[in-house]
Amino acid sequence: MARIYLTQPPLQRDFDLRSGETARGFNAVLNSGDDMVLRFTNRNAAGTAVTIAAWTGITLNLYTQAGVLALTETGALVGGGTGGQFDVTLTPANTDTLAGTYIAELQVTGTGIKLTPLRGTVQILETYIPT
Amino acid sequence: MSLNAEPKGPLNMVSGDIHTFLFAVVDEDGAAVNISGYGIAASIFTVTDGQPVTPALVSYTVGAGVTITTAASGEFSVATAAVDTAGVSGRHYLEIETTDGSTKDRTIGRFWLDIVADLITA
Repeated sequence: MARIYLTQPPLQRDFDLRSGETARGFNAVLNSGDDMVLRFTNRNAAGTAVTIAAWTGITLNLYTQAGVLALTETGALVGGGTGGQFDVTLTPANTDTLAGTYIAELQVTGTGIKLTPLRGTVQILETYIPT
Repeated sequence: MSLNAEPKGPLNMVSGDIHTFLFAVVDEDGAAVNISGYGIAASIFTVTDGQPVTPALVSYTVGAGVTITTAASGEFSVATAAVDTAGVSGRHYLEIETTDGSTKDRTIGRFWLDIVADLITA
């Protein structure tokens, strides 16, 4: 009998943000009810990481196509943010009841800072084994 | 990495059979993943109007239908018991989820499963 190969998805997915701009091409595809870390890196036009240590508030929200808030998650700086990185950690419970394509918006705040560095979509594939 | 919205397959089996599906877990580069210590859950769901229906028709876990055959090569099997699919036929849905040693949940398999009604039902 032929063996069927199953690709194990990574537990972390990496995305780049362009410093000072709103990335609108963001499109992530996730399985509902899975563990996943979304790691973002803030870079300048040359691709060099730009510190985000002053970003004291990081919020990633998902909205339905009708504009209803479906999920809100707080990001955490990696290494204090000097390497331009932060994580948004999703646990199974965060997405277990979600399925479909959501509008994603990321907002960061700090002293004198209020930015939307990302707009895009997150497609969540429905899975059926309970978490 | 990209995930496909549509389940793969279909896999096929005959209702009422003791059927073994063989799987191997690989990473995105195609290298075998050592699944020692993994929890593996596999469930078969009926499908109505193209959508799986919960709860599952039958579920399997390691030691109860799922056997890790060669952990270092990522190989495991899922074996149905005759009673599991007796009297059922048509399109079904098979989902496989793993929990690794750090208890991270990952859905690694989503398949359509077509079950053909057996004629010899004894």
